[in-house]
Amino acid sequence: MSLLIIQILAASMLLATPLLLAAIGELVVEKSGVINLGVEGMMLIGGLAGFIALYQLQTSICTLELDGVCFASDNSVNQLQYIGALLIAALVGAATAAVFGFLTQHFRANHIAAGLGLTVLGAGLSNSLGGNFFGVDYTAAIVAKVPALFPASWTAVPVLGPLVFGQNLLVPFSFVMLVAVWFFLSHTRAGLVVRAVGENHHSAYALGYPVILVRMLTIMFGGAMAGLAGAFIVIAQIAPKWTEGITVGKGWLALALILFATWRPGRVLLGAYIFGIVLALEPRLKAIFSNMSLELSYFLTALPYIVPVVVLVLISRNPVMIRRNAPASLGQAFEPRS
Amino acid sequence: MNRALTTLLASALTFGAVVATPAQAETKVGFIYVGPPGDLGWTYRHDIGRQAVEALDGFTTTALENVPEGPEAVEAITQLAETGHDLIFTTSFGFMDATNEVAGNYPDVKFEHATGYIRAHENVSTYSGRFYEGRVVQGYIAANVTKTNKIGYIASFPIPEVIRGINAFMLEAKKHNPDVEVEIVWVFTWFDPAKEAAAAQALIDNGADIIAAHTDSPAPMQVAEAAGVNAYGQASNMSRFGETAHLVSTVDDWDSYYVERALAVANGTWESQDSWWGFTKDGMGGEVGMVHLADYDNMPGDVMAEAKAIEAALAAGDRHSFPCPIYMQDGALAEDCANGETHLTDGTLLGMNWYIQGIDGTIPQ
Repeated sequence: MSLLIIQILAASMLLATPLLLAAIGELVVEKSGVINLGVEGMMLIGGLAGFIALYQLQTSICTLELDGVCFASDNSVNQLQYIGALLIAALVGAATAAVFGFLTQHFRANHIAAGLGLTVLGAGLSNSLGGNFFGVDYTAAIVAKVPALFPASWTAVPVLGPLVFGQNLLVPFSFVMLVAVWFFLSHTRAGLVVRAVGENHHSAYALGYPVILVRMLTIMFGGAMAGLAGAFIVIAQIAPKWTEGITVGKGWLALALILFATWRPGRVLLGAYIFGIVLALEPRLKAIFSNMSLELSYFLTALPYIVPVVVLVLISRNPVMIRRNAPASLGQAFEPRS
Repeated sequence: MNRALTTLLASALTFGAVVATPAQAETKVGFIYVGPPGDLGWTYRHDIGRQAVEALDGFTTTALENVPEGPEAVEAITQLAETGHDLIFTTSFGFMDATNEVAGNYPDVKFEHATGYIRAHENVSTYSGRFYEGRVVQGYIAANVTKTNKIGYIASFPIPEVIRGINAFMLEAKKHNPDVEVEIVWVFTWFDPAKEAAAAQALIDNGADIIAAHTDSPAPMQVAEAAGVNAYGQASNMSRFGETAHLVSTVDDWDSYYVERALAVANGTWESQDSWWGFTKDGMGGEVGMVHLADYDNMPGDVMAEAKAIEAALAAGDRHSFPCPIYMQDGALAEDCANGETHLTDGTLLGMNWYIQGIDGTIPQ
């Protein structure tokens, strides 16, 4: 029984981490008064960038070479190469977000339209670039599995092995970033400026804060985090494999999570992990009780989406708290008054 | 101006997934895909078939990717019909109603719907592969390779196509190893790598040492490889994703059918029909069919030899995938067998909505 709980927790970390990464980034974006619906698009482009980077960075030793063409190779990846690929994913995610930032902050385009455009751009562009655009068909490219942070023998340690030692670098990173973002928003002066810009951009501007610059920076931070979330899905969640549309709506889930968590980092964490745990539990229940009715099976499939929403709505239904946490200028275009 | 720019950008990108080539008095063939060709599974194999048509002289092809199943597909199919396509393949079960609806509006265009059974108009054909023939061979291998006697089966939707596969697999497996059991996890999706992987991991954690999947991505194979158990490739050759896990892949092979039908349109000989090809077109050792098996790996030599012998016997028509007697879940003899047939009829197989004896679980009727 305890083994089952550990298996579910380990699986839930894999499922919750991309949601958590993307939602942490978008939380800061929304706190600065910008709503970027393009999370899904940024995840796809960032994920592809990370995959291509890792493909190029991995150590590849040719084991069967004929006339200078390699027919079979032994590939391996170390943590440093993986971190390099993650940096590329974050940078490309931030650059993609900058396109959205330019449209909404410079041209004052509607946030919703520009965000939806970014989602479609991300899907279309990653499809094209991941095909045969660079001379390599990345849908068929093979990249070695990223090793766990700790030596393989450590993963045999009970409890801590699968939950801590066997995890991917981005899992602890997502917790660190969550705490960092919470601290930044609520305990630093820069965080206060971000919130001020999100509450009332005209007042913030009158006080001398560079509203557009602050928002460009938060937008790019959101893009970098979405890029990392995409890289986690493409590289670490299963085994490295680029597939068009591989995120299958996780960006939208991250957006919904922030809403139901009423812009509070702790509740984003709670929501992401409730989702992860229920999603990990669902196939296990189906496997153990394999003679369950299909109606119940259908219901279990819907549970990972129902439970976090219900829980977050129940604990966040205080209207005063929602008003206090929701950025008042969310989604409004800012035009400096002279 | 800025708003217009944004709208233009968004609308231009909506159709960004269209793969199109210009046409001049050529036969234009359109394809509707449920997923991306990069799934390296179901849609990938249809795209290989499209390329076989494209390679012919006098033919051009167009493909629309990631088209949602259901009423939304009407728009995509109409778009192809409106732009002068002479023949349109809709390559997923969920396009059935949409295909027949659009076909009624465009009587001069020929429509081909994969895995469906409704031909409401003269200009609609249906076609599918007898993929269950591959499941028979998989079941034989499972019976001989499993050590835990637990098979994990990731199933997409409770439609006859999927149920037929489970039955064919277990019928053969039970014949060679009566202790073998199957645990079925319904994921209710064709393509969601994270979900397919979570299901595979859950089945492995629960003791399964062989994973069979009726979904589109190689994620279950990748999970099996990491966990040190075995798995089968689905729709395309997935051996590269499981060096030590891969047993055999059931590969969909649409090339000959797509070329045959495209030529029929060009020659004016196209007629509405239903095609169901197995390892061979006629099931009697004739021309190449719509299904083949690729890369037997990671099993003892005698198991591999017998598996290949079963494949050959099915291809030549020396045996059937569902030979009588077949008992249903409740122990009753299948109606066809009671009526004196030597095997289940195509009609029974096409509408199969019941499990054979030895499979737990219920299917809503």
